[in-house]
Amino acid sequence: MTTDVVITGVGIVNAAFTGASEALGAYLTSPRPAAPSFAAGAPGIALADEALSRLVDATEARRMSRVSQLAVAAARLALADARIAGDTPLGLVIGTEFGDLRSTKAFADGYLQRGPAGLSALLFPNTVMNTMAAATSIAVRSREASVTVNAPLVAGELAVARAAAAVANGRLPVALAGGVDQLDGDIVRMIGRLGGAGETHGEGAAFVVLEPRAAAVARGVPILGRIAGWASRVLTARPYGVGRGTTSAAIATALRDADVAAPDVRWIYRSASGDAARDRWEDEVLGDDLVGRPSATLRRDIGRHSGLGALRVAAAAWTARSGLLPSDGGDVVRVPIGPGLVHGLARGGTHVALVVTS
Amino acid sequence: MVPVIARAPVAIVAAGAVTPLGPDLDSFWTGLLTGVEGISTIERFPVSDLRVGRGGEIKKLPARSARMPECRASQLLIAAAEDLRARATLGSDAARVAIVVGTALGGVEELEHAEAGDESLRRIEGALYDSPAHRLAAWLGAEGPVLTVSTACASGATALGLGAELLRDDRADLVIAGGYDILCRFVMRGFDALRSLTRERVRPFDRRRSGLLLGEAAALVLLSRDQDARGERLGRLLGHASGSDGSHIAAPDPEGRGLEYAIRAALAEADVDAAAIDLVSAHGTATPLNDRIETAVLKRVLGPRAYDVPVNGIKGALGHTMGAAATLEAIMCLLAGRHGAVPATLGYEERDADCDLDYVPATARNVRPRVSLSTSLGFGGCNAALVLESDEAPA
Repeated sequence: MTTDVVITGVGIVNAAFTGASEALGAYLTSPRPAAPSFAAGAPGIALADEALSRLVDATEARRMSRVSQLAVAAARLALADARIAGDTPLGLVIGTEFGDLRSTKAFADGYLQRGPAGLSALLFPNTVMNTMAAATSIAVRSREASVTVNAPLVAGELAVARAAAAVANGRLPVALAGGVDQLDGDIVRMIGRLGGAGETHGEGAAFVVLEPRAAAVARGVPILGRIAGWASRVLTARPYGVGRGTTSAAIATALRDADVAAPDVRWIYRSASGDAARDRWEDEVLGDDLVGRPSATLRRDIGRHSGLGALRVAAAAWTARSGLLPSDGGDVVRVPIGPGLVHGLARGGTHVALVVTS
Repeated sequence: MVPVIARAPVAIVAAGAVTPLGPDLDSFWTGLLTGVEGISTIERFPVSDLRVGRGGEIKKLPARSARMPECRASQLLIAAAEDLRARATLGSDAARVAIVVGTALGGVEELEHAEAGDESLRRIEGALYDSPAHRLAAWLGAEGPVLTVSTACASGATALGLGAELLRDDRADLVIAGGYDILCRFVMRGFDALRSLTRERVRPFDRRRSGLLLGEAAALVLLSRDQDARGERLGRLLGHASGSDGSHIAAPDPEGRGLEYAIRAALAEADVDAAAIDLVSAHGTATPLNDRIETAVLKRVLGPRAYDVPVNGIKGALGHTMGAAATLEAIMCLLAGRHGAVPATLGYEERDADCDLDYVPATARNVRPRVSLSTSLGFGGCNAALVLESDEAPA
């Protein structure tokens, strides 16, 4: 590790709560409902349009798709939290599973139903996978690299890991990293056919601001946490399938880079989603050493989406500071102060591990 | 501009490709050198209701990949990997072999079929953007990091840059990096909606240029740390950088500021002065705006020498292959230095007042560029630049 990478800002937009690091702390310590809440027949936990319209003004919203609005709103919250001004050299790494699927479907439906007359020049640019990153880089005036990482289920964790690497090796002076996805009934249904029954889907965006510790100290901003190690690997599985292999170097590599031994991991934020087959696989990959540690997923009243991975990283920084862990049962439990693991294992085999400390 | 750190070069050991010019790297290179035009009437899907029905279509895939049940994007990627594997040994600890592929539109053809009512599992699997990369990893037995990235039509450059970072950061010992995209009705409709497609010939930098035609391809390179490369190699990736326009979701910045930033940062990372550039492989889409902006940026970066440096574009031969384009252009640069010949810019004939550089007209030129610059622009204001150094072919 060449540079100490720290978190200095958090921005989160989803149905359960919206805000920066303070709002995250308040959410994590408050009692949470025992079951996810969404309307009968809805595909998952959706953010009300009125809530989003309070975050992005109407003029700007007209130029952006809804999923880009989610990204822009969360990005601005994170940058404000980190006290990053508009002219700061800044790079973006955004994870997404579905991109701007609603625009993609609308574009296809337009010409499938109406032929050439149904083509929309306004919609097509939104169908390219990097459209949320592009909208965000325009909104926050980022001039550095803007990269979109695509993966099912763990795109947010992957994006934070890539951004941490780019800050550590000096490629990015400051990185805005996270994930975004939007709920869509057709996709929930189609993805459900591939597997994953039992999951609750959601939508939203979450970002963390990463920078070298020395830069944060020089700016005099609070340090919310440290990303001490990160790694990703792949376990063999068919697309969107659950594999049988359980040997991956991701956890060991992240721990080694963080100079943390497995017995010293105090708690874990897991990617368990309610998909029984995948959750069992994650148990096996974590192994006997780690599977019994206190753990949280935050999935229940937020729902699975690519922002959730970055949210877990931000929550891990909060746990590392506070010694509190929001259990999936709704209680907040006390855990030993010390390093924790953010662990992501996706259907299809993408495996990510990040070690987070205070 | 932020301070850029000069970084260790990364070896480009070998390459593999499947393009409209043929099923492998040899046909790609020979076709470019001899001026073969890979543009034709599209046959794989109906085009009678499209305003433009031509493009750089791959007519025939190698038999083994064509038999695979996967979606076309995976078939193309595996065909390119077969070609790569025929030229290089991938023997290494599987956990230290990484895959980084870039794509602009991923599995959108499969999604379109699903949207039209075919919700078979094959379609849904194919619609997952990262499934071709995972198919490739499984096919190669790679168990290191597997990443699917997008910076629109600069994706093939971004993938090479990220691959180099994985090596420099000691996250892998070998990286297979590159890009792909396929022709489908969705993408043809999309670029047509933007009025970007021409019904004429693709003419990069030409006075009569009127737009682009799309193409499909997959291209991969094998990267290793320079000190680990044994035996023959194609050359080295000296530097790469990305920059964002931050101005418009679909149109490039009129001043090309993001592109200029990317080029200057890539040169700084490579620790190469602009005066050392022997060849520019331009993005050269043949749209009026792109080619004018790119020319103006090259003049600013290269200074008076801009008129002496050959600038070529290969989209007249292949069409715009989107996620594969930047990787193919990087490979072209390396082969040009290796073989001592720079392919002509197919379609360029008449000088434009705004595009007045040396675009290598008519025929391939017998020069041996050692250091090349490859530029890419993508939707959303994504810009990327690669600085490459060729190795000569062994005598």
